[in-house]
This record gives sequence, C-alpha cells and structure tokens, in this order.
Amino acid sequence: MISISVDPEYDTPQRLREYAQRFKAGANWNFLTGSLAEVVAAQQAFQTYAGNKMNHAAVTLLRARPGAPWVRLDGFASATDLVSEYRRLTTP
Amino acid sequence: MRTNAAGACRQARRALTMLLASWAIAAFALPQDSRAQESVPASPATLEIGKNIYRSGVLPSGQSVRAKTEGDVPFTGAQLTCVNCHRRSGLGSSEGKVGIPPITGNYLFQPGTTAREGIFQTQSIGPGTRPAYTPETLRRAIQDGIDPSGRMLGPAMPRYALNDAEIDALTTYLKTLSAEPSPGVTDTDIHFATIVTDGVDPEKSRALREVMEAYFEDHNAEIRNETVRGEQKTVMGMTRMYKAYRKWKLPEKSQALREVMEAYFEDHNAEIRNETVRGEQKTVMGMTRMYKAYRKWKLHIWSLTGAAETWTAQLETYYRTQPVFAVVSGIAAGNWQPIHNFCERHELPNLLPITDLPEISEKGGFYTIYYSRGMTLEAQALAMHLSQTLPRKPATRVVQVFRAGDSAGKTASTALRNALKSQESVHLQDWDADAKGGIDWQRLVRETRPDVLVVWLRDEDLTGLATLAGNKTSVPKLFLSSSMINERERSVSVALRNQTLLVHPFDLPAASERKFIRTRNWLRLRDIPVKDMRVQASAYLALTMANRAVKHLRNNYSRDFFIERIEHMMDNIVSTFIYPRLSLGPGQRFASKGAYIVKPSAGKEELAAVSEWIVP
Repeated sequence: MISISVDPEYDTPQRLREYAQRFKAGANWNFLTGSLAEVVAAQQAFQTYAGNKMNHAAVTLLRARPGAPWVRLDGFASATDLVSEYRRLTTP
Repeated sequence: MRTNAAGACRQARRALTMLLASWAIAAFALPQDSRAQESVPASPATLEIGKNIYRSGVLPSGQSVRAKTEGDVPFTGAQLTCVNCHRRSGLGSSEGKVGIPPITGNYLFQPGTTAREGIFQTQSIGPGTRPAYTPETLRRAIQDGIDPSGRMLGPAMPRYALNDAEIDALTTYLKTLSAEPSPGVTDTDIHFATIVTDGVDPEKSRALREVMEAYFEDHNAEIRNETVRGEQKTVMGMTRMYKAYRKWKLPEKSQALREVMEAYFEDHNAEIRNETVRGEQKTVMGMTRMYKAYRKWKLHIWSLTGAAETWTAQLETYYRTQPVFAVVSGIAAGNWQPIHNFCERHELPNLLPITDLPEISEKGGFYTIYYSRGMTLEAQALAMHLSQTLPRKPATRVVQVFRAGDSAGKTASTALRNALKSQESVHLQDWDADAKGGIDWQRLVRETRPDVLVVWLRDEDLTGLATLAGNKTSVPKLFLSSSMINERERSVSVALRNQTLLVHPFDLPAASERKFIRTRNWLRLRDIPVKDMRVQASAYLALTMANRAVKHLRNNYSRDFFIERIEHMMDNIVSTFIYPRLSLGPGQRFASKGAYIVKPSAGKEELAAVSEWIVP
C-alpha cells in the first residue's frame, strides 16, 4: 500500500515517518513524497489533480498486478468496502 | 459485493452532500443575538476537561478518546480529534470537497435554517436545515452521528465513544468556544498594529510605514466613503470611482415590485456605506452578508526602542492602551522571538512579519505566520546542496565565517552545523570574526585552507573579499547569503564572481520583478516611490491577506478563525511576489519552504539558478 503526499514541500520524509507512526503503519504501507512537479505529475496520471492542494479529495486506487486495470474508490472508503474490493480483485 | 459497495458509496455521497449543504447554510444563518443568551458560568475544571477532549483527544482518565469513522474505521486520540477538522476556533473549515460545519455553541444551539426571508419563506425543514441542538440531541450526534432532524451526519464525522459526563464537559467547552469577538474589534472599527523596532534601516522602516498607512487610508475610503464623500479632491493619485456610489432613493411602485425594490435598495446602500446594517445582526436577502466585516480599519504603529530585552514591556503597554485584533507585517532588528512570544501569550495573530530570524522551536506556535524559516532555511538548503554535490571522499573542508554578535549569522551557522552533523563527507569549521578580532580574509584562508567558504556576513564585512582573488586554488567555492546582502552588485566582488554562489530563499529576479508589477502599480497610484521591493511587497501582501481573511470571518471576529482562514487561503494567492510559491495548511507556519543556489552573472541583477528549488 502506498500513500502519496499532495503537499510535498511540507511532507518531508521525516514528517511522513511521524505520520506513519501515528497511524501505526505496517511494513507494507509506504509513504511517498517528492518534488512538487513529481507529485503533480503523479496526481495528473491518476486524474486526481485538483490544482490547489486545499481542494484535494481522498481517492483510493487498487489493482491486482502490473498491467491490470485500476479500480478507483472516490472519497473515504470504509474498511468493509476496501476489503471487499481487495477480495474481488485477488480472487481468481 | 460490487453493488453493495456501490450502494454504500451512493449513501456516503448523499450523506456528504447533506453535510455540505448544512455547513453552507449554517455558515450563513448564524443569529448573532445567541451570543448574549448563552452565558452560563462553567467551572474551570469542566472547561478544561472539555478542552482536552476537543484539542487533544484525551479523557479525564488520561486515556485517549476512541471513535469510528466511515462506518467501521477505528481511531484513537490524536489521530482524529475534534480540533483536527473543526479547528481551534470551532468555526469549521473544508477539506477538499468535505465541508466541516461550525460547532460552537453559537451555531449548535440555534436552528440551522435556509434563512431566505425577504425572498422566500424561511425553510426550516428539508435539506440544509435542522432544529437547534439540545444537550440530548448533541449527545446523540457525537455518539451515534444523528442530527436533531434524525438525519445521519456525514461518514467522515467520527462517532465518539464518550460517556455522558465527558459529553457534558465537551458541550460546556463548545458553548464558550469563539463565543465572544476577540479583543481589538468594536461595532465600527477593527484595530491592527504593525511593529517597527530600533536598529532597522530607516529606509526600510519608512517603506513599511508608507505601505501600511496608504493601505489603511485607501481601505477606509473605499468601504465607508466617509473621508471623501461629497468632496471633489483627488485621493492618492486618482479621482475615485466611488464618487458614483451615492445612496439610491426609492420611487413609488406597486406592492410586489416595491418589496423587491426595497430589498435591493437596502442591500445596495448597505453594501456601499455599511450604514443600514452596521451593528445589526439581521440577515439581509437570504444571507448574512460578508460586509458585516467591513469595519473601519485603525492602524497602530508600535515603535519599539532600545534593547530587545525591553521590547516585551513596551508591547504590553501598547496592548494595554489599545488591544488590536492582529499585528500585520512588521520589521525588527534581530530575532523575532520577543514579539513572537508576546503574540502567543495574548493569542494575538501576527501575519507575515519581515524577518530572517523567526522563532523556530520544537513546539512551535499558533499565532505568528512567517514568510519562511529565514536564515535557518538558508543554512538547511545549503547543507542539502553540499551533501548532494560534494564528493563522498575525501572529506571536504567547509569553513563558515560569521559574527557571533550578529543573530543572522549566528543562527545560520548553528543551523548549518546541525544540518551537517551526520555528513561524514564534510568537515565543518567555524570562524567567528568577533572572536578573531575582525575579518582578515588572508589569515582565514591561510589558517583554515577551506575547500568551501560559507560567508554569513553583511555587505560592510565583504569589502575585503576581493583580496582573495589571487587565491583561486585555495578558495574554489564561496557561498554568500542572499538575505544578509543588500547590495549584491557591490558585494559579490567582480574578481570572485566566478567562484561565488548565493543561497537565495526567494524567487529569481526576473520572476520576482514580474510578480512585483501588482505592487509596483499599487505604489505608483499612491505616489509611493519603489524603495525596497522586499519590504514593500511583503507588507502589501500581508495587508492583502489580512483583508481577505477579515472578509471571510463574516460575523465571527475570532483571531483563531482569522489564522485558520489565512492557512486556508494562502495557496490561492496569485501573485506571490518575491517567492516562487506560498503555501500553508493547518498548523503550517512557514509559507515559503525552499531556496535556490544561484550564480551571479555579470549583468545587472542577473542570477542564474544552479540548483533546483531545494526544500529541506
């Protein structure tokens, strides 16, 4: 699982580490930041770019393997929704 | 499974829409007289319990609050406290598309209506409305997420596992939260201060004062039209268009038309003169107008004299004489810390002072918002640049020159030392010119044989730099501070130009110049000569932000809300003047976060970036 900061100039690796600790992130939950341009490019690639960072919206994207289609969950997903979507994707 | 998920999504979206709608309406429909009625004395202990739950998510037992959001996502304590979303003021916010309603007592215990009187009947049922909360329905909202009309709150609102006593304490706290206007505001005026200290270049102080005074005069003339009403004089470079804004008189018309006409005329006149509704709390034409915020601005210039240790007492005296709502801009010689601490103590916003020495402490502060971390930022950006560009082996000898008596150099040298602490590829050595009895460049190079020389000094100390011109092999690289240097052309000695780089926590000159056009034109219209681009642009931007934020306060003259609005609005600034971008967010206190390493070129005012925008 990967979380990408929409505020890379504030979310330094150190801050993301603290954030991960606060939410007791496990080893398979990684936090990414970068230059502003890189983060904008990532958001544009996933069609989640809202221009101003204060307009950002929560979105979760899942896929089973490289090359497989993405499933997009807009808004805050409940744990039930996430798990059921995960099961559906990973059940052959 | 799929359909269920989609169904849940639809439900969530509906709930969210409702939440948004109720936020929007509540924001507009606050009846102000509620302030007077809710003055139940609360015990300090109860308030403290409520405040701890609200701000820190800590229960009286010392345990963390537990909650669930999105139906089944559990949280505890500091992960999802009330203050995270509803903010310190309790007046709400928004996060992306999620509207977060105000939850102060003033709002909760009044009905949420659509408040369309004058046009339609007031809607008290249907989307966007709710009855006033009672202690009982508020408990149900906090525990089970059900509002007084029986609707579900949005799924992002946590359902808290709080017992009745804890909810009572929280409710008590919410009743006091932003219940009264902050000091410095009357029915007709908002008081602001700016701060100027001894030891600041008089030209810079004057530049700041000119911008401040002109802005206030202009602002007041535009909103009340009092100073120039009926006169023909030209004010500040222009014969104003607001001459045209005379009060409209209503002709006789039929009844239905008359109602519309009356409402429109009242509204028009209220907007231009703020006379009819000044001090009143009623809602006009379906909304509580933003022009409620248009009080006359009063500027107080707080001049601080003598030693920095005496500033606090002087500030206290000024504040006692006339409390202000906020301190806008300001300029000081040395550390901003005494002013910062004063503002924290009085919970007084200080918006965008012009300083390279902000207060940077671990626990931070709430009330001062800075342009950048200043000298600390320069040092950290330089450290990052050095560790990215210097070879790993052999270790590079870096010598930093500063005067321990000059806070700017001292702060930067300490920050550089801290930032390079774990860099084995750098051997850092200090050269304190005050301890060495002055600047002797030849001796410095002879004794320290630097590969890289970092110079945290001001113009007057750099005159001898050219004597190193013959020493190309012993000083291959020289770094100067852009913030500490006023006269770049003279200070970057021609002889050393090829070896010299600058740490530059600002935009490049061509871009700054372009973004300065707005300020330049504003100054020109007021017959203010361009003196110091940084001071003038910084002051003008601070004032512009203050003005916008005040409008967004609506009727809530809360300093906390003012700060929260600034945090929220900073990213919308079109013209960021001397910075590439300015950005804040909840809790962020430094708007510009990076620096360039630049190379001065032969042309006047030319700087070429040799690094990316470095964000340490």
